[in-house]
Amino acid sequence: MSPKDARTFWQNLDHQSRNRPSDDLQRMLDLVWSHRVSHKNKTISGANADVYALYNRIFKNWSYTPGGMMGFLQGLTAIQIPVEVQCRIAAIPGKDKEDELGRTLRRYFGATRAASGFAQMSPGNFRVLVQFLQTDQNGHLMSLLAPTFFHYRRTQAKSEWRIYLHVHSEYRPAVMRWVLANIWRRAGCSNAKVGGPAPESRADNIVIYLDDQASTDLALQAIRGYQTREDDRKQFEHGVPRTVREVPGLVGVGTGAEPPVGIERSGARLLLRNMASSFGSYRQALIDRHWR
Amino acid sequence: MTLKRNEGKDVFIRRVVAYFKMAGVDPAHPDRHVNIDKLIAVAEYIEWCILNKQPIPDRLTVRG
Repeated sequence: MSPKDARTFWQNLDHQSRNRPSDDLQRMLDLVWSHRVSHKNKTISGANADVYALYNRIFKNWSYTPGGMMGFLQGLTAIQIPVEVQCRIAAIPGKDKEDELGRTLRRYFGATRAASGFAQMSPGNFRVLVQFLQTDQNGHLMSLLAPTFFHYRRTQAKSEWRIYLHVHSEYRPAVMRWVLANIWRRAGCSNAKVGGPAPESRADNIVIYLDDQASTDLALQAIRGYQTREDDRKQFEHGVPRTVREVPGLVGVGTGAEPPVGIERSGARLLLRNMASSFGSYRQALIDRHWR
Repeated sequence: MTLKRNEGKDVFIRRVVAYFKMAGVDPAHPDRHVNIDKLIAVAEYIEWCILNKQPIPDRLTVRG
């Protein structure tokens, strides 16, 4: 494309695009605007609005208990696929950065660094971890595991499409097992992750990563079949993250396409980089940019 | 009081909409991005602006 063509494209794009945000995005921006006022000291600042929390409808989970988390982890032990616990783990101890969860899993539970940088555990090592947690009186390790995600990676492909599922906490292991058996094994799916009943609830507690729209449509068809049974449908909660497209006729199911590039902050500028990105973080960075 | 509290809100929304468009996300359909070819075309336009010393829309920078 010549620069002239590019300029014509840009002008057409600008002309064709609607200048109004979607209703969903408008509602989110209304919330960000009102949350910029602190209820504590009445100061007005962009930093008062937690844009990511508003995107993900994060709220305090008053019913969180370590027992609930234990039931969730026990449910995951039935999955015979290596799990990647989302944390930072060192490939070379002492040289690479790692967080407390990564260090604990590496030292005591045989975790190794996966290509993603997360802690990879065999099903056997994961069972040992869960057995330890049953007898652990301290509860600190459980508090580190509660807010994280458990990934089941099939390939390292860079997938752009996402399906977000909002599932009741007690049914998440069962729904995850169904996802792994019926969607994950198909071509086009690279990863699926599940979050436990954390102290903060979010609207995307199971996320399925897919290559393209065709594989996304096939997966949605399977989920539609799953939700036809009333008992299975009840396992889902209403609501998906803001700006995600809610699938009509399904409960708590949404789709979104991640950008093919990532955003990196450099001083006052945002740079588009050829790197993996997160759907929510990408949109958060664009909204947050106004305040800077 | 309400008017004062909402002062600047239009600018906020207009700017966020502009950032979404420049970053390849259609604000009317924020669940998806424009395809990579279109994004490259946008990058090429910005590159053309730089080479021809034309003003770049806002301050968003695109790198390869």
